Amino acid sequence: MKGRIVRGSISTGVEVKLDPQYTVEDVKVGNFAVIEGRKYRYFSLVSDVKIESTNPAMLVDSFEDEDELAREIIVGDSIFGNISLNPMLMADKEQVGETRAVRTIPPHSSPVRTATDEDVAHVFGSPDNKVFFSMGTPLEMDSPVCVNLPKLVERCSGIFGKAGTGKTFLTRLALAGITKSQAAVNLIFDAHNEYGWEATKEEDRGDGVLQESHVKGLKQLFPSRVVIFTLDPESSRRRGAKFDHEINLAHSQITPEDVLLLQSQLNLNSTATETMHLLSGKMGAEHWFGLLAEMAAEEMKDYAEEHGLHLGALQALQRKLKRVYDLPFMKDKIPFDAVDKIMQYLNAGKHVVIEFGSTQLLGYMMVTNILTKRIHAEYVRRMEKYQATRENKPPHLVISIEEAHRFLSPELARDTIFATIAREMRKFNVTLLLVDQRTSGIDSEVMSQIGTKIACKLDDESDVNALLTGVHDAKNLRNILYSLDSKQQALILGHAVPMPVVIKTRNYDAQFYNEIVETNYQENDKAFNEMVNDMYNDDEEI
Amino acid sequence: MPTHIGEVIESKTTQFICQATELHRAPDFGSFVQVQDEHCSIVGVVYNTTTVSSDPSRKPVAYGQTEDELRRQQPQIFQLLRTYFDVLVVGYYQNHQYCGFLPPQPSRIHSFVQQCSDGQYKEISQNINYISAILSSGCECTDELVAALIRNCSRYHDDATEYQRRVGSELRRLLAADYERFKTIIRRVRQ
Repeated sequence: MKGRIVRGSISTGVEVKLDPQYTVEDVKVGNFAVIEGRKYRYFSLVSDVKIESTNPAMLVDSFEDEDELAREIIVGDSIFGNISLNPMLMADKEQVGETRAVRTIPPHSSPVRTATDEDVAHVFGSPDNKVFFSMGTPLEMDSPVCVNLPKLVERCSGIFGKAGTGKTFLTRLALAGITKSQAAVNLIFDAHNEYGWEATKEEDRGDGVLQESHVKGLKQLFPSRVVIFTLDPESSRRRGAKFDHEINLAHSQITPEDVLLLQSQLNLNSTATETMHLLSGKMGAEHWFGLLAEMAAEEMKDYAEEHGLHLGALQALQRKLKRVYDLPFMKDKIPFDAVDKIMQYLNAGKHVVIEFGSTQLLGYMMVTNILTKRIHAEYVRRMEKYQATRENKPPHLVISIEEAHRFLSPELARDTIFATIAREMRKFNVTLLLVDQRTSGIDSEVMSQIGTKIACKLDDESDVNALLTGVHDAKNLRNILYSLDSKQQALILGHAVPMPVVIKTRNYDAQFYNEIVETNYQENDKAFNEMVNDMYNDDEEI
Repeated sequence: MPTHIGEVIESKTTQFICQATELHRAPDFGSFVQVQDEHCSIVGVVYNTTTVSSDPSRKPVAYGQTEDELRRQQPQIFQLLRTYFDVLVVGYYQNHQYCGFLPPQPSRIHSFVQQCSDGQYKEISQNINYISAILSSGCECTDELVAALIRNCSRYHDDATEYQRRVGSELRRLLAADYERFKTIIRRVRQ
């Protein structure tokens, strides 16, 4: 694509008249273009493609056969492709230096061209698996687009997209990148058992038939750095997935706040909430849950009378909490405190995946909330200690949660620990990686705190609006977002990338494994060959 | 030196009128002619041809005979007829260099008029200023004239199609506000 700037402003972007030999079909929304100004080079995104003419009468001309010459003269020059570009970054032309945000626009008739691989490398850096991690390539290009991992983990980030658009693969890529680079330690709440051990992937072989194949989980790629905890050992065994530890929760670990999070699932009303708080106050925060659950009918009646509680409310609460009590991982006593163990691993720089097996949503939400709350408290304590002593700084922690809207909905956002982390935990070295398909379900205050957003295709307008809340130039990004394919394409914007960019997600395949795994197979092969050679040499000597 | 085909009998900066050397032997509509002057050679395009009686008081009358019969029986009437052609100035040669704009002085009366050579056609039509000169002249049938000239000139260019596109683009630029007129002319160029 080539063209020239015809008009523009800093607020609405610039417009480009395509050179006559190119048609609008040569340009796609989201493509990456470079404008060569006089002093600066501008890196921009195509945000709109239009057909325009110098005279409206030409547009309605159907150009009969006898008008062939007229068509040749008019089309391309008087009826032309008009491309809207959004300049995002600029860099000095003279010296190859840092790119910075645009504060001016290129002069009239500056030439515009499609970005080359060098331009992409200039803007996004070259992959080194330490700071710059390749997530894919720009559409119709081969040069890698890298995210800045330290920046990605510095603030909360989110991976969004409707079901089946490749969220999970993007998350896998991001997690593998963070693990490889050691930019942070991961704590992954793996609701659907997709990140720890093997998972299946559906792949179109090209003839429309979906083929199932298996992809490696984090534990297989980084066996020495990843620890898997499971809440459902049976499911793990059935799936043939390896795990290191089993998690159980003790009744004493359940607080009224934890149950409150499950308000909608358990259908709790405000009376139940008050009753819980009363019980917790009277029986003690560690005992109320166990005592209430095991209370017999007579006992309850006496207790209600004795403490002036409403018997009906107490009975209803017990009935409703039965579902929590019956969760398979709820135990009266537990052999070890899972949180302590997880903290030990995290402190040692190990990445922790918590698998939920066939645990239902209720269990997922409760465990995630309880564990995160404890880990949060522990992190705050350690960070404060570090601030006092300047020793033993806890490693940066990224907590990945799926179905994020369940924890961060506007109704719950005030009460759950995740909203607190999203808002202020950057100071305490903890950030979130939200994975969700329903951005509109997430509290807008939390959404605005998300530094880096990686968005696959979203159809629902309210989801798109929620995603683009507070984003500069949302109107143009909306066009790009709607134009994404439903497979292997994503828009990355925010803190970890210098400018928004549409990528074709890189393949999560053998080539990726080879690049990322901690074992260097080539080295291994070499060592093995040497060993074999030595052995044979020895034989000859004998 | 090629023989002349006419002689200037009326002249102004933008146009001149010539009398053809022979009756009915005016150059074609839309062809380039030149007038050799002292300092320069003025180039123009033929846009109108008239044949009338040389004596305004004696109008030709219809005899109901063919031209050959008339020439045999009344040869004197042809002596009284004159062919004139009107030329629109589009440029001039100075020091063997073609300039696509009006000459500083009009052609002189009684100068001889000659057809332009093939080489000159190519050279003159390379400079497409003639299009705007014609469109702004206000002379009769400008649209037909432009179309005829483009048809003629494109014959002298190796890539006629490319030449037509180039001239067409200039035409489109000049007639930006009148798309229908542009199309009318372009349709006459390539039939």
